[in-house]
Amino acid sequence: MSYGSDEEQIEAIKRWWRENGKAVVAGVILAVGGVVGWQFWDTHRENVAREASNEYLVFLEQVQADADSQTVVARGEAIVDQYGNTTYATLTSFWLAQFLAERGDYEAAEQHLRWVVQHGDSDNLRHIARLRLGRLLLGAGEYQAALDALRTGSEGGFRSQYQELRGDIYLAQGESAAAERAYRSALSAADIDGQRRSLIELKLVDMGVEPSEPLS
Amino acid sequence: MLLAIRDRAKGWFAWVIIVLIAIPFAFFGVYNYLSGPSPNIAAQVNGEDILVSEVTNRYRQQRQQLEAQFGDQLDPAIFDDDEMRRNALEQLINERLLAEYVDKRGLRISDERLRALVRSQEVFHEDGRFSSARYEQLLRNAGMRPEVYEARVRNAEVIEQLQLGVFGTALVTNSDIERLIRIDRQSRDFAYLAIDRQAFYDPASVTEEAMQAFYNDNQALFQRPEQVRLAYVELQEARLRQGVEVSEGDIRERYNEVRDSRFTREGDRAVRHILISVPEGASQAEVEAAREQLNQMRADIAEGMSFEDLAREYSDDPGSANRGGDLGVIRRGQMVDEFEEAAYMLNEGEVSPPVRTPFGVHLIQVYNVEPDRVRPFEEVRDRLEQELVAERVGHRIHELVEQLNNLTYEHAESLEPASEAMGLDIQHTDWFSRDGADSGLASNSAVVQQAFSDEVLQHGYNSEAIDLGGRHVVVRVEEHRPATTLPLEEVAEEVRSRLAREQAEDRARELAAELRERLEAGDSLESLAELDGVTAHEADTVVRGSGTNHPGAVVRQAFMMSRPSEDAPSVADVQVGNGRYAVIQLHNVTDGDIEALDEGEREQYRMLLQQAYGQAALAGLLADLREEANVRVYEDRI
Repeated sequence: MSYGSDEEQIEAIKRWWRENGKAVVAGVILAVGGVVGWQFWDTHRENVAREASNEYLVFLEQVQADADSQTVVARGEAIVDQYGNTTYATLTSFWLAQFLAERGDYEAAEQHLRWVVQHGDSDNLRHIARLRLGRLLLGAGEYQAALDALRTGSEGGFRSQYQELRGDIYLAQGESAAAERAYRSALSAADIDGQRRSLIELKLVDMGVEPSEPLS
Repeated sequence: MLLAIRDRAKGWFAWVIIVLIAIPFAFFGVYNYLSGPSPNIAAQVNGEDILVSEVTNRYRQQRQQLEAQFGDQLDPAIFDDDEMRRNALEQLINERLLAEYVDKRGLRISDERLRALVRSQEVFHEDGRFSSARYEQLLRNAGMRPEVYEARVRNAEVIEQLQLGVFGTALVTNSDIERLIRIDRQSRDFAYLAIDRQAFYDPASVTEEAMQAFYNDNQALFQRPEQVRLAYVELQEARLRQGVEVSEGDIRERYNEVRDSRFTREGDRAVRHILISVPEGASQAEVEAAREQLNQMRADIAEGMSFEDLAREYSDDPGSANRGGDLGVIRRGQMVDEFEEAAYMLNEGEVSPPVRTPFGVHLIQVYNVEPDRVRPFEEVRDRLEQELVAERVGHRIHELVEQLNNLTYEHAESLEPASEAMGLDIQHTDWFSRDGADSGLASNSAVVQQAFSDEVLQHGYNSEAIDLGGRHVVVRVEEHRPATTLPLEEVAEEVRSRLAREQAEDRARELAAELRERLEAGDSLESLAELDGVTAHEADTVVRGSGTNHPGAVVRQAFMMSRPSEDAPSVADVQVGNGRYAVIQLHNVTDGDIEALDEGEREQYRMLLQQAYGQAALAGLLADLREEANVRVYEDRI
């Protein structure tokens, strides 16, 4: 295309506006609406998070004050129901699981940990839930279920803990060769620390195995 | 017009514009490449910087804590600086990771909660209650805006929430506790045969051939380095001290001389001020304007206007303005220098001329001056006496060292003249090499250095006086012998006993293996204990980790042996150290029993496990976050 003069150019611009004007206006409205909507949504989420935080702190106070089971459980479950997709629901489930397990109700504790494994906030915290679930089932004598609970894709920074717990379960099942392999693999994981290293070494020594010797 | 640009856009004009636009972009990129990350960055966590100075601060804090805790016992070898700096950095990285995590996961603190947290901080309390004036004042002193401080409190609090929610919720079942107690409270019954190589130590059995062979193969062991023996004379300050007397009058005189400068503490003063705030980089005109305004106020005060009313109305210091500018009692070193200097020049009730400080321009009034405090003569008398004695001894020793230097320099080939003239005995050292000796005069590196210097060793001159802190010595070489290989005759006894020791140890080791085999074959422990150099010991119900009289290596081995079978004990041999060996027979293993423990002991085990599991959950979380994050550490800058 080529234009003869300024007038012709202005005419061309007007024509373009007549053809595309509506689309431009619609686009602008959409963009502005999107930004406002996003901000609204963001504020809303922020408010929900602060609300959940307040509820959680009240709940935590009751747990720490050793309030009666009914109150604690009711309040905790209300947080999980209402703020299910916040981290506070996950932390609340952790407290409930501990609270109930300490009172001997392994089944109810198990339900809360399973909830985190399925719906919990972030992979990192789900690892923790899986490990606690495995430990709980081991304590209840359900060895196969415990091993199943530990099944996951990546073990991330929790490898030594997965392996130590597997070792504990195998040992309880009487499979000491498998237990030794698991303990050794826990000791060689990058994420092990001093105190747990000595606890695992103690278990190996008790099995008549020198922890520092290479695997035969 | 539009047309004009469009036409030209095809020619050189377009290129000029394009190049002009391109230049800054091009250089922007290059600049970033050339400079790299700034050298004061120690690490980056997902693109966020951790500064070297942050690492240094954290490291200092920790070091101070350790020093406060352990004081002089702090062994610098244990607290490796590099490692501590590395730890400090790791902590900072973890904090960043957690801060980012809690933010992303939507952990929050409500405004009411934040307020409650800030108000509960005791540093902000005055008379037991939160004071917002004090809060603002302290933040201003720290150079921090309230929003920044509050954001930090929020952040620290949500991290705390997460940590507690992960650490505190660890789960321990009875089976975990039972399993641990089974091992930790386990007891074992065992007996062992101890073999001492001393029983086989027989120097007479070492042959001449063996000694000659060892000597030939180990010539390096029999080298003696170049050595000297010294003669020396010595001046001791401690001896001079006894002869020095200081009179009471001397001490009194010294006290009068230094009383004002050393023993007088200026009285504290209470001040008020009016601040016209002027930023540090402000122009001369702004400063002058502030001065002008304050001079006006000063004149008003001189005519009877109240300093306090003016402060209330005009002072820019929000902490003190509504108290009439009152800053209370100040001490030396508390305020910025310019302020302090001005305040200490004023008498009670006086108002200073305008004073410029980094905050702005001040008018200062001192409304109370405490009297100066002078320490009385009796309190400092002994200290002054010691100082005077030390001074006089110092003078005297200086004279004597000079005399000694002169005498030993003039008669450079003998110590006799100095010894006679000054009444100093000539003393002697033992042989020593360039490495010096472990004790005596030759343990001073300065002496060793002089002894092997050209002047002293080659030319045979006296050294100059060597200052050893409280002692001054002049040395000369009395005898010198070059490096040599010692002949076998001279070291025969050493070689003989060394070989005898080795033979004895070999015998003990062989015997240990032999005894193990015989025990495994079913021989009784008692019958084997009759052999030479072998003793039998019983160790019943030894609990894991408890103290015993048996050698540590034996107990450790006994707890590491596999469990005995129904019909045969387990057997193992072990080196105990110092040429001793042992053969262990493990009879019985009794697992720890949770029923035998009282409630308190069980609870301790439960706590131990809960802590370990909680710690592990946190550590796992951090390791996980670290794996997911992009962390770069600049090792060489830490």
